[in-house]
Amino acid sequence: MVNLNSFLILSAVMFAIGLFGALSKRNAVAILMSIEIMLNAVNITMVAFASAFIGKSDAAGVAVGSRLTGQIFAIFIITVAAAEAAVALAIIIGIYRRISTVDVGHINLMKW
Amino acid sequence: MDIFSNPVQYAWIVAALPLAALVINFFGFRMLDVLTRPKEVVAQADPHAAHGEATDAHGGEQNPATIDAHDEQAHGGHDDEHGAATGFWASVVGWIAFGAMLLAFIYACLIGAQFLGNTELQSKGVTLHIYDWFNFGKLAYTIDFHVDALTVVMLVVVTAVSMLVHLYSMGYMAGDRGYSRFFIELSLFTFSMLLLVLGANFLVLFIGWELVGLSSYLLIGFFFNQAKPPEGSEVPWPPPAQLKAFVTTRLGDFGFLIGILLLWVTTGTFNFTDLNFNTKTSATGLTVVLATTAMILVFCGAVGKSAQFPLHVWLPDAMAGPTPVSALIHAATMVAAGVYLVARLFPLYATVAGPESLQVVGYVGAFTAIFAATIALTQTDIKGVLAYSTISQLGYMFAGLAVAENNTVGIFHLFTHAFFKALLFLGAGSVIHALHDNGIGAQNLRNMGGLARWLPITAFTMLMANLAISGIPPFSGFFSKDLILATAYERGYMPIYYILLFTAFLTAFYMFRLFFLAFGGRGGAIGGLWGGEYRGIGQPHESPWVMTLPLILLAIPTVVAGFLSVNNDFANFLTGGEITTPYVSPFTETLTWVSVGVAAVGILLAWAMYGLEILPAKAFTGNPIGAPIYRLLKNRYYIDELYGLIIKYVVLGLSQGFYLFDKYIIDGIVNGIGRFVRGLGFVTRRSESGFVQNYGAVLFGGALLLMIAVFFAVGVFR
Repeated sequence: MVNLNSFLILSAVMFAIGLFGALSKRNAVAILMSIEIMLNAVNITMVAFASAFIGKSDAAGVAVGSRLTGQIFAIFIITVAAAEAAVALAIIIGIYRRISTVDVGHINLMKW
Repeated sequence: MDIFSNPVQYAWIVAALPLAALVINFFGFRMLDVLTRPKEVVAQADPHAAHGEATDAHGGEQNPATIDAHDEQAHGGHDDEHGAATGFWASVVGWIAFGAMLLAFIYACLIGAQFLGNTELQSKGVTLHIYDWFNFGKLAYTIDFHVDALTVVMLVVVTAVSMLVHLYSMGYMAGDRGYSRFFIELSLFTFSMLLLVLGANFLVLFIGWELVGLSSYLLIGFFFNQAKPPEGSEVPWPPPAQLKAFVTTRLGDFGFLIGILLLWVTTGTFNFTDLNFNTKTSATGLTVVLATTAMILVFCGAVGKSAQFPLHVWLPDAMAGPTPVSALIHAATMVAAGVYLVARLFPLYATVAGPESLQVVGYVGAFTAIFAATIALTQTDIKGVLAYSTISQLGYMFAGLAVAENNTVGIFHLFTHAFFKALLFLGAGSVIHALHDNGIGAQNLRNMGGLARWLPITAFTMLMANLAISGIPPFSGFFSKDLILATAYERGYMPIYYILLFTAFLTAFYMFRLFFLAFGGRGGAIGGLWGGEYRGIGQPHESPWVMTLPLILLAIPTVVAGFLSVNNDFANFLTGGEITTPYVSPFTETLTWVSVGVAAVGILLAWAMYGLEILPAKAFTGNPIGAPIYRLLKNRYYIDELYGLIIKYVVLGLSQGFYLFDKYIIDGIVNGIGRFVRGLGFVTRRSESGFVQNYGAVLFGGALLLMIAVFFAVGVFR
């Protein structure tokens, strides 16, 4: 049965995969992709909570899911992620043109 | 005017006069002298001829080896080049210094005149408040002068001797390049001693005490650029000699300072009057044991300053300075300070502290007396003999202080000794002055003999002083020495009495040995007393009037000063007429004739050995018993060598130990901490990789751990 917990587990798994990728990959493009996976894991959580609680009230009778807050946030994150991906890719390409590598271990121009 | 009608109230003038001369000369005429005097001429052509005289002008045994050893390094500036005339401004400096001392002497005599017959003044004295030094809380530190009979005696002695030494120095130092510097340092020396004597509390006294040490340092090393004498020379070299004097006296000062502080901590006062007369009655924490300890510690300072065993080693070397300075040091200014200190604190020693304190003083004094006298028997340096005789006589003074019930006995010997010892040293200076132009070791008795023919005034005055120090009536030394011996006998200090009696014999012997060796000899008139065979080279000459006049002036008190003790006059003056015991003339006592007889035997023995020369010295030093004793005495009991060994092995060994402790323990701890931190950094620096991914891993790892902790806390896993 597909319920809220399934979405959350999927989200957690995706986040963990993304985190692992972001921390372990040496390739800057792969790190960027991993970060995208983590962002999308968060998006899934947002949308899952939003749809699960729509039309529900808490114990004090205040409506908690009456608005499309989660969905709007998800769209917002997608937008930011797109912008971020564009900027990051531009930087990576710039770096690649300069030092012919996208290995983060070698990108140490600003390291003291 | 009040200054003349009531001079006691202006006693500071006595100290201010040499200080004024010092300031005027130092900032005024010394500058003019330095600017106007001709440049020093360094003879390049023949160093032997040019420096044969200059090198050892005041110092050394001159022999060809000396000259050879010298000629290279002797080229530095020689301050003591003779022959040149004294510059105009230099003589101005000399006359100002002398004039100030003459005025100071006259003023001291005025104060003395006011004290005469005024028993109130004699017993109480006057305290003059000069200056508030600083105050905090209950503590008030003041520069106060205290003038009582003891101070007056010291003022008169110091100014009189210093004044005559100033006059004498004008002849002795004539033409010396350091002429003006010499007189400035003499002024400083005299000022320091007057400050010491005038001080009403330990602070002022200690300032004077240290200033005396400084100025003696300066004056002993007056010829600081003199070339090093060759190995084995008996003549001390000024630079180490001045340091030795300074450091040795400083050793005693260490105890002195602890003693002062001990007294201050328990009584809360530095003031002599309070310490002497109020410590018993007031509720201070000064117990007998503490007082005894403090007084023995204070005596340590006196031991250093007055050259008592075991800190006597500096005084014989102090003759490296010009001879007038030796006269000043030995008679009035430096070594008298220790005796004065004990005399000043005499009530503390006698009434507050236990009897042990004065016993220490007495036995150290008596031992030093005989110890130094035995060394003096064998010395061949004319100033060396006199130096050891000074140490011996100072021992007499301390013994005299210790055995009597007041300080008058010791101070009386200080008083008479100041005159005849100054006379002896100035006479020795006159001899050196007479001989040193001849290019021989001018201080060595072996190069003298028969000098009375050429130096009649010097010889006659020296004879007076010799009779005085030997204790022959009616010369001054007889009265003071007999007083010490009689007091020791009467008050039951038999060991001290016998030691001092034997020392009296030795004293008479070595002083007349000196006299016969220098002025008499075989073939002279009166059985070798006057004139005789001259063993030196060239023609000695009598000194100019500025040098013989002080000798004559000093000969007067040397002969007559002893009569001041008749009817207890001197003791009554010091104590304000408290002496109640009836006066016994020394001439009526059998005991007196014992000590006079002992001295006469000493003189006759010296006469037989060195005047008539019927009893060769080899008779004593040639046999197997006498030879090692002679060697021991000749080498001054090897005390200097012993101290050398102590310094080399104990002091340097200890410092080596401390160095190693510092290097390996102290530095080890400090470096160990550094090394530990370095090692820690070496291990932990791996965490700072510079890779953002690592930081991120740690960040999220931390977050994970936090999450698990929260889960545990809320009971998820339960």
